[in-house]
Amino acid sequence: MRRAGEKSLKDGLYSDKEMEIIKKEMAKEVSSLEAPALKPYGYKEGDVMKNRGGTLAHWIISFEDYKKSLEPYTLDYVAKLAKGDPDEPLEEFKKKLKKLAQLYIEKDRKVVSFWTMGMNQHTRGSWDNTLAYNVHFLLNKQAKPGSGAFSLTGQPSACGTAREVGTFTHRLPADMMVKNPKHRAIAEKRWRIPEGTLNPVGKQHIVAIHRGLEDGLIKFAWVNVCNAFQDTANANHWIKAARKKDCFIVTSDGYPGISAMVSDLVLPSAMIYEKWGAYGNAERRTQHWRQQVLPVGQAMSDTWQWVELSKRFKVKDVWGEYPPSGPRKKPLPSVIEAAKKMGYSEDTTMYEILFANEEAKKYTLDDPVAKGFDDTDSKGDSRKVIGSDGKEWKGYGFFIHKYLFEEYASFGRGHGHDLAPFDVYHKVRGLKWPVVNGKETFWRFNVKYDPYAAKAAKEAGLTDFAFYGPLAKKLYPGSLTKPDKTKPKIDLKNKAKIFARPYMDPPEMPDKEYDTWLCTGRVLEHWHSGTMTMRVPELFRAMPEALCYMHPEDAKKRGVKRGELVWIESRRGKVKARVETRGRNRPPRGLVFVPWFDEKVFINKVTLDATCPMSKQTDYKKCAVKIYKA
Amino acid sequence: MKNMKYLILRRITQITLLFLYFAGNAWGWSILQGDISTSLLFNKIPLSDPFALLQILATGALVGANVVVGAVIITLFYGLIGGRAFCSWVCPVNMVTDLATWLRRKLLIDKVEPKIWMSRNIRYYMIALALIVSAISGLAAFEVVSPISILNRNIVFGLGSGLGLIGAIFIFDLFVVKNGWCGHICPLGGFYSLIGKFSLFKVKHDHQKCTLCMRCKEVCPESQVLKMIGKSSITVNSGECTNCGRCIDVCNDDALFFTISKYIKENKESK
Amino acid sequence: MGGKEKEKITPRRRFFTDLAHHIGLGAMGVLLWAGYTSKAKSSPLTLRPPAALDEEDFLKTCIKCGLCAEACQNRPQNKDVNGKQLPGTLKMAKAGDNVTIGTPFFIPRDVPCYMCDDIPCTKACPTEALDITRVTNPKTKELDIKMMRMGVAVVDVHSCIAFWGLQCDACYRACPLLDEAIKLVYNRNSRTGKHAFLEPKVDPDVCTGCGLCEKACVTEKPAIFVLPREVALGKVGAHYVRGWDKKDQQRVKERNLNDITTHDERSKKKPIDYLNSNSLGL
Repeated sequence: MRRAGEKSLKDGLYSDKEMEIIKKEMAKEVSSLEAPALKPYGYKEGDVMKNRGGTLAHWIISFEDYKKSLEPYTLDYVAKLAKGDPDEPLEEFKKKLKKLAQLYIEKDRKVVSFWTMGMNQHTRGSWDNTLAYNVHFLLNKQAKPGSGAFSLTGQPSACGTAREVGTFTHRLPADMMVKNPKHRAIAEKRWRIPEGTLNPVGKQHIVAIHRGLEDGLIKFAWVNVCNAFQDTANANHWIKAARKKDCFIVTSDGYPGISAMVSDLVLPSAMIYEKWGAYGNAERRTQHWRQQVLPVGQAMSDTWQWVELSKRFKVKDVWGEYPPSGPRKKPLPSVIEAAKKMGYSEDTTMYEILFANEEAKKYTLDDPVAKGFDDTDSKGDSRKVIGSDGKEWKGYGFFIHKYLFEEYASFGRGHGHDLAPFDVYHKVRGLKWPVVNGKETFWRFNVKYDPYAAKAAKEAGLTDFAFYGPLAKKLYPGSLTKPDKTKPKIDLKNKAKIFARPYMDPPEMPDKEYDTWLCTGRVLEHWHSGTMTMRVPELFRAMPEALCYMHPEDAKKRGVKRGELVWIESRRGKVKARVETRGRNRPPRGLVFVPWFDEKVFINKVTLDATCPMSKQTDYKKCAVKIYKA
Repeated sequence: MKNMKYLILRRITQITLLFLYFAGNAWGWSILQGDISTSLLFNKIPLSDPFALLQILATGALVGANVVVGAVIITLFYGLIGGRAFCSWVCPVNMVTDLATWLRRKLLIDKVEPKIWMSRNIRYYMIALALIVSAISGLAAFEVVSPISILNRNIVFGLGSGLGLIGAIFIFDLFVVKNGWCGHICPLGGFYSLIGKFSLFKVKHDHQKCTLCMRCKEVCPESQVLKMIGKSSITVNSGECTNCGRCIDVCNDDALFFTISKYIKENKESK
Repeated sequence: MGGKEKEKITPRRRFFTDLAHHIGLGAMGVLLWAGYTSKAKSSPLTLRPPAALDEEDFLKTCIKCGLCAEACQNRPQNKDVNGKQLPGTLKMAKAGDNVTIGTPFFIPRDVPCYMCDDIPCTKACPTEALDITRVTNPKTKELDIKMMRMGVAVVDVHSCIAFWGLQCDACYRACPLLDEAIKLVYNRNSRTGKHAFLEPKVDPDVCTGCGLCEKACVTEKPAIFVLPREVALGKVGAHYVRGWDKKDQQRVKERNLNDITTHDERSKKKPIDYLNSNSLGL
């Protein structure tokens, strides 16, 4: 969600039409639809809510207050809010809701709720997720065999390379936070860098980077393992900024996509099995693989590209003082002296500190896991690629992948995030962390299955569950509207949290002009942007083109036949797509669905970049459009 | 050029029609859609090959009204007005066989080789055969072998195999029998000879002006229709005349010209 | 013949000889031509446009004008996002296509039928070889493309990867009559012990033969493909009737008793001859 005072808003980079919605993100009037839900929080219809900083604070409310927060959600009210199909009789829908509730509350019935990333892609995506967990917690159907809330969003890279590993801007490995000075200190120590080196402000999430490029606040971006310029909502702004503004964009990819198209430099990257790697899945399963084939052409792994970059930076280049910049209001101190105390000179390169250090070199190439297998990064290969120094690439000379993994894994070991040794993953078909004494954990927080829960329970005298973990466990008590900081904090040690979350309208809803909901998403055949899958001949044949799935009545109303082209236009942009009224997606009246794997149907030009204030995920699932014959 | 007026007009007509057919398919132009067996004029008026329809009926098939209307329109057009003009003004094979005949003249084949005689009535037998075979086989018999529709479709719907047949006709006309295909064998030509017999448009001869140069007979693909040359001033009444106008083109004496036959005749008598 | 005078040929004789000559030549022509024509008929695997008459009647009736193929190619929907014309579904047979020359057909793997609601191809047919009544709802008198029966999709369970235990669904999802014409049947995968087979199963009563499944199939040569219904479907005959199905019961009433045969090889001999045959050799 936008806040007043952002540079691009001041600079007038948005059209009047766009501003209609952005204004609602900044300040909104409570609508009649959401008024009942917001009543327990002290709002009534017509009140103005302002989007201010610091509203993400947590505090503890009483169970009575929690009940009060749920009071508005009568069957009638929920049915009115949730029914998507205007042709479905309200009573029918109510019956469905009741049936669903009855299934969940049946005492001995086991329930697993699965959802995929679509549930996160809402302006209230984080709330949605916590609500799903609430239901399971309240019914005692969580963290047990056969019962639990299960977000399936952690496909290989989302979970394994982002959440666990800590590649988000605000995160460090093993669930540690950039904001937390203790966590930073742990990371700095482990990475052999001076205390105070890490930037304590990690707020540049992907949408902020795009906006920063547009505002001229960010001058450089490097796209790895995704297609950021196709994948981000309201893409017109970002592709234009990437091309027109004074910035330098690099894309590392195996295939050219829209990101490569708007880049200043494209680096050929090795694809998944052309390099050593690992992924972590949603069920916390870590799996590793060896390099199976040599990369194509001159392509090298993303890891190699980053490590090569590190050779170009010396202590004196990067560890001096930095003035305030962007969201970081304080200067970063110089750590050059501290570095010298650690035995580095001004000319020591980042490569020597971070990668080719004494610890790394202990992982030798005669390691039995590495021996006899291709490893382009560590050993070079028969392609004799010319390296970044202009000489033939012959490898780092040590087993860099094992080193990187073991260093990363050391963060979580002993902290409830235990990963098995590198070698083990090359013998088994994946293990679910925490892996304690060689055994994986199937149900986390359950005393019977999770050794960490067992330990915590023993200490605290609990029997079944221990929701251990240190994050935001000591909180002030308070009412539904605010914490009471005069009272002492309460410790929620070993407890799970149930959140009070109201219904709220999205910033953009269909109106007279933009009268249709647009929902985007995926098709089975293609992965997100289709950068890779659209190049797989059988997948391309099975699904060569993104269609606009529409209710037959809606098509008729607009005078469009099945198969004809329509414009899908929002306040932000428009694309052409072919109408389909039959087959796999049959939306209700008033909603169209357009998947975004097809760069020729660049639907993210149309979508809204309003983000969930907590997750910073944009809302790909709903915005308002008008549709007319092309 | 002076001697090629009708030739050029015919070529323009033939090529324009082919182009319109092609555009109808390739770009969806609605002037002339379909092909030579059945077309749709201006997205409305059906035009159908009556001979193809006869064969279809011979198979015992029941057909829709559109094709019948189309066949009636075509029959009336050629029967009342155009005569056998289809063969020389529309049919694409005409361009192939005309080329063969022209080359045959240039190579002096008729002067060098002994003439092979072939009956010009074969075409009428072919009509009967086509109808009988259609009835027996349940398939419009001429339509599956017709080089006319094969060539036409090849142009309209894209080139494919089947052009060998066109090559065969070209060689046959060039080396074997003069005007062999169009003037002897083609049942569609025979069919239009039958319906075109009483049409209004006819070639007329004025024997007073004729200098007996015989150029007309030389170029005429159906030279038997020009029996009257130098003898009497009458119209060419045989349905086998294709109204191609080549005789008029080559006549330097204005002894041949198109008339609207009956109208002129009555006019003269009234004088 | 020696010294004999040349026999005189009377006009009567000339007439009959001529007649015989002509009839002979004509018969030869008929034989040759009909022989060729029988070969010119299509391969039984040919797929015809929507609402085509049964093959035999279709061949009789089609005038090969190509208006259907033009209507198909030039329908307004047949353009890509940039407005570029796409190839139509229907092709006009050329020599070598193994289809009667000049008749319309389609190959779903190349371009399937997209089942236009307004069925422009059928509307364009001047001879009614494409019979609009076959795709017109008799009650509402509205066009209903779902009524067309161009063929039926058949699954080769040997090369369909769903039957190997891989989740595919490409055909299931490509089907315009999703979950009606192709359903997914769940079966236990006893090889892994914990997975399901998601096997595509075609309902021939619903399948229109549009071929979108064949087009979408991911295997090198499609494991699901459309065949003409006469080729792909069996016929149960009069002897088997679903006693539990009222609609099927109707067949009992409608059947023609003369069509039912109860004779076989053993019935050739009369019973009395059989009894007296002494085949036991006693």
